[in-house]
Amino acid sequence: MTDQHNIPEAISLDNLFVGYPVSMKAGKTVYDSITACAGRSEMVGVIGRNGIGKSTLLRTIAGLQPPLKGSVFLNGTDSRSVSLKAMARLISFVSTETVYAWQIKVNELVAMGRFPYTGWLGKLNETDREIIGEAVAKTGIEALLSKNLHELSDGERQKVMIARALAQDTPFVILDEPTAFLDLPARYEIFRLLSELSRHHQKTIVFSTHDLSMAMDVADKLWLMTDTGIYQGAPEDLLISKVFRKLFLNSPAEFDEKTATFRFKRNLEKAISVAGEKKFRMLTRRALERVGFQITDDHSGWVVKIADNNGTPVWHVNMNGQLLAFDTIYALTLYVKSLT
Amino acid sequence: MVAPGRSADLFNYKRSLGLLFLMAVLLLLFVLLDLVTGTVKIPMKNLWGVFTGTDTGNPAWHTILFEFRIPKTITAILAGSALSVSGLQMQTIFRNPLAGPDVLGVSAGAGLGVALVVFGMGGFFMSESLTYLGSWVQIVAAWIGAGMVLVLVMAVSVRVRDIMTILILGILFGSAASALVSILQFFSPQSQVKAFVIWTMGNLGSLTGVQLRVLAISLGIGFLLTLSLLKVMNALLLGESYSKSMGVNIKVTRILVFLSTSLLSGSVTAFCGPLAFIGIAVPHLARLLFNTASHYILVPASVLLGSLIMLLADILSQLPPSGMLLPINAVTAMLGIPVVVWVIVYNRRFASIN
Repeated sequence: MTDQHNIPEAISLDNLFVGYPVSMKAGKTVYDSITACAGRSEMVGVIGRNGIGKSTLLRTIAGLQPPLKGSVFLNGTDSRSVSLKAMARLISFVSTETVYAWQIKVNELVAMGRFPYTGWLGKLNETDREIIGEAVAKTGIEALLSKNLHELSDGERQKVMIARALAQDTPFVILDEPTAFLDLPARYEIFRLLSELSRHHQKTIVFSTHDLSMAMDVADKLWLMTDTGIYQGAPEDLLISKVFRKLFLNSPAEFDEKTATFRFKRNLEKAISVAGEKKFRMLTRRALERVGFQITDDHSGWVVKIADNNGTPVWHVNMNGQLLAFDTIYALTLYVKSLT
Repeated sequence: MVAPGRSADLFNYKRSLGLLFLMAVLLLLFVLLDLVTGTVKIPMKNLWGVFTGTDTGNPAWHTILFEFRIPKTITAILAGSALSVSGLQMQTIFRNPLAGPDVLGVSAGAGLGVALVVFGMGGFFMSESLTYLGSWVQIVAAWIGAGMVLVLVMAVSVRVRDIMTILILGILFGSAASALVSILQFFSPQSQVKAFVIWTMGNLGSLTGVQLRVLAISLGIGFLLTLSLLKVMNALLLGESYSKSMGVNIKVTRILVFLSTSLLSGSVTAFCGPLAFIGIAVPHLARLLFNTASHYILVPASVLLGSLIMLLADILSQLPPSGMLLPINAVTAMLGIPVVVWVIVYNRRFASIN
């Protein structure tokens, strides 16, 4: 063991209660007893169902609302003792909140990230310009600079908001659902950008998302907010401890630890087995499960055999001595659905 | 790396400065026009001579220029710029393109304050209206009325995020204030009612020297507050969460903005009456002309444009040949309403702040 143990975690949540203040004394707790941490230049994904308190937690960490109880420690310092101004140089925040400003340009918006560093006139010096230039280059938004904010697509706007956060030049970046409303390629782009920032630019990044599989691909650590408490660990650790199934109780989805994905809970009544060409077996099983069959290894009942006919698969079903052949999975499912 | 860094400068200074300069020149022209227009025409070629006292051809000109025209022109510039800047601030802090002193009922609140002074302290007010005390009482009453409506609207807009709802509530608050005023009128003597009705039509030319000085001091403080808030108001464009995450103290900022807005719009309303639609329309014209959201540009632009439009309104109000004056309030409404209609019809994307 090295002396790493003496270095405080980048973010450490100690029995944290988050929620909204109702009056001077009382508050409405949204999520309680959160104890979790994040290491330096780690990427942490916050996962949980809608309304469980992901945004409230992220806003509390970012200092936008005070903890109701417990503490947020940033590099070992209680965030309560950090002034608003100092906080702005420590944590930057990206939300899904749409910015409605008239005639605001992308370059103006990114430059606003320098707010905590500039004087009353907001004049940028060489250092400011350099940092803004870097933020623009890292997010690849050079072509957008002279555009108006409202001319951008959702994905472009999100990149611009991230560029603004980078211009703020903080060791911590908190992002509340950075990929909401984005299409698949844009989501990949944002996550690749974030993981680059944590790997190569030493940023500690905490983000929330509903995109579990992508979060599991990129995050060093997940904070899993379930109705029975918060679980943290590498995505694979959480797979092993089977806590994902606690994410959505009473929902039509169930978590399949083998494939690390959620899928429909199905009431599978009829059994069928699949044999033959290996590379098509998985897809065939998927389709058969969809139409209500339980896949077994028992070949004494109904059996689907996949044969390879010069590279194109053919599905055979032996029914009462008669061998039926199907050349698409769709035709196969149509047939097996008629079996009752 | 240099290119994006350079272009990340907050504003296109050169173009904006050029445009500001052009507007300043235009303002000078309008000032001259306003000085020579009126029932008694002072020829433009004689203006400088009358001003310096070397042209003694018509002694009445000198009196008219110094006693009436110059104070009125100064008032127009002060009122136009103050209303425009307060409208700009309201639009930013409420994140609502249709916010403005008259729309949100702030002018009506100031009017209620004035009415309380006029009716409640009737005799005192009449005799003291020429003194500093009377002027300060009137203007402070207007500030308080304006500030109270602002706080009310803010309290509501924390809960209701819909722009139109907030506007309707603003109109309701304004109506409530007006209703209170009517009750006050009902119990007041005829002379005071008439004085008040004339006040509601708006007037740039009736300010006494004392009132003008009180107005200038109050607006000066309001403008200084505005200047101190330029950077913060730019951050507020991104909404509360983002500005707070950049280190803006939302509560303090809100109080300061309300203070300067109340000072600016309340003071003007106290002495000039409710001048409609300048506060809401001018900031939009400024954004359109300068194509920027930055308050570093929009505040000076609103000052210049507001002054220009108020002078224009004053010149137009003197157009009827018979020597009759149109109520300035009607002229500003005719100038401002088309802009507001344009904002509503062509900027549909601003229709919601959520």
